[in-house]
Amino acid sequence: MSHVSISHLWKVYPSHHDGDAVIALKDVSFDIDEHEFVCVLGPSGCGKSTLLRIVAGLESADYGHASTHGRPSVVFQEHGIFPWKNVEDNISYPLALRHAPRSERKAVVDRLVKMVGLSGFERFHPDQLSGGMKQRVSVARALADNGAILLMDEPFGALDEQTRVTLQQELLTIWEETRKSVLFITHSVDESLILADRIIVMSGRPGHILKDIRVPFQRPRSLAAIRRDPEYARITDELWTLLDQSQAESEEEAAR
Amino acid sequence: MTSSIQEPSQEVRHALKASLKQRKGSRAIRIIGPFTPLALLVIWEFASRFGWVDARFFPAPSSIFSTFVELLQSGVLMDHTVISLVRILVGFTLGAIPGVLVGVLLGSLEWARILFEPIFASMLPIPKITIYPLLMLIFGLGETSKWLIIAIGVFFTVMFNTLGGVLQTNLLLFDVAKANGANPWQQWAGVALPSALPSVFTGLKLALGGSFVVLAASEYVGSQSGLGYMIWSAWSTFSVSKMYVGIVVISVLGYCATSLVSLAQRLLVPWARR
Repeated sequence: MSHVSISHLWKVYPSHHDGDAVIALKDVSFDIDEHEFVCVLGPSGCGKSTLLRIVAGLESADYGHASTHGRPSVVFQEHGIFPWKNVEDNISYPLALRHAPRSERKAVVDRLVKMVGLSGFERFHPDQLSGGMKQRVSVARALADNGAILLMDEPFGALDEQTRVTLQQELLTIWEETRKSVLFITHSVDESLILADRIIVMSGRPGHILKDIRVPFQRPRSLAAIRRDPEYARITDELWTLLDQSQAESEEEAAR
Repeated sequence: MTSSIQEPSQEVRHALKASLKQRKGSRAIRIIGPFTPLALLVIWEFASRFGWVDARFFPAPSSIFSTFVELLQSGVLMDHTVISLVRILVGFTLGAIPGVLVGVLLGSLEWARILFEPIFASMLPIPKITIYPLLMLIFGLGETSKWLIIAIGVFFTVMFNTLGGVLQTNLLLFDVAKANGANPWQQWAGVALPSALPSVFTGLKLALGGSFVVLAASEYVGSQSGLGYMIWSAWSTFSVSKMYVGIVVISVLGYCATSLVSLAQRLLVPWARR
């Protein structure tokens, strides 16, 4: 059964330059199955973040609809953790909103702090944490929310490469444990190949789906093993070809 | 490739020593710095005693101090100080609480901001002390008119700083709250208010400084008590030392009050410190 269902989604924005509207999403349709990890890959400005915001219920669609079977939990691009709360209180924020009992909050925080590797930092405030640690807090908060679906909007995009690779590997481990359905937005070919079961490739202006690719690598995955797999080079090549094409198309579009 | 650390040449050594010496010099200046006001007092003392300046306008600090002790012993200074402090306390509270509430309200509700901000904005440029005669007409010479004139000044400063703080809230934090299912009240109390707190405190500090100006001015004209009255009456009796005592006491009170708010800020808004 599909956990996320997106059908014929359109979204337009008023243009800044002239009267014409900018089409952010053009007839986007796809489903995400239960326990499936789906990456949406596309250049910046292809409307992929808008897509996630619509699924999260933060924006409305202009046509078509997105529905989720179960509540989604969101990890945003810029961590978005509260500067006035310490690590513990940031993680348990969703539970506090629901007035969960203290014992439950503590149990959840204890478990998640270990899971995201922040043991010992429970009382730290965000300004004492590195960028990677803040994003770990943000991931833990989404896990504390414990929605059936995890929506991640380029969560590691703002991090340096070493931290990013570490967090990708940790996310894989966490995903093996939780097996949540995931919608993961990224502009990185590498990242999508490492993480996803399926990659939805999108093109920019107007944002539409170019291709839906199944990623064949075995799970549990290790980055090193994937990089040695001959399929890795083949799919990487295919993805780049698609992205280059879409780039050329949108430049043509812009030139007209 | 290997490299070895070489001993610095004679020339380099000279340059390093000279640089160290220079830095020592600037350190000496830094140590002396805090004491220059004292030096000024000493110069003032001598200038006044030896007649380099007119001692009628600039009485020696030592004579100002003895006036201070006299006023303290007679209890006069204490009475005026307590009266002024109560006026500040009541006026400030009357202005600050509505200031924060209205600021957060206008910041959170767009329709309220569109409808009512122009009213407050149009009244903002009025120098608040200019409506004091009107308040005295309406409320008489008693305490009410003084509380109100202080409160009005405080209100505007606090309100606009709070409003600015709410409007500066990182929109992502509202998204986080909404995505986690926060209701409007939880968004307001959990995101808008804490986001605005650093600006609220900036407003409180500015307002407190301003309220001492308004206090003095209101006591000059419409009062028989308070530090402002003490300074003003010293002018009419030409007791210049007493005037200086009033000025110094008001300054010290203002400094202490602002420091108290800063302390509260460090305790309540620790995340804005760093």
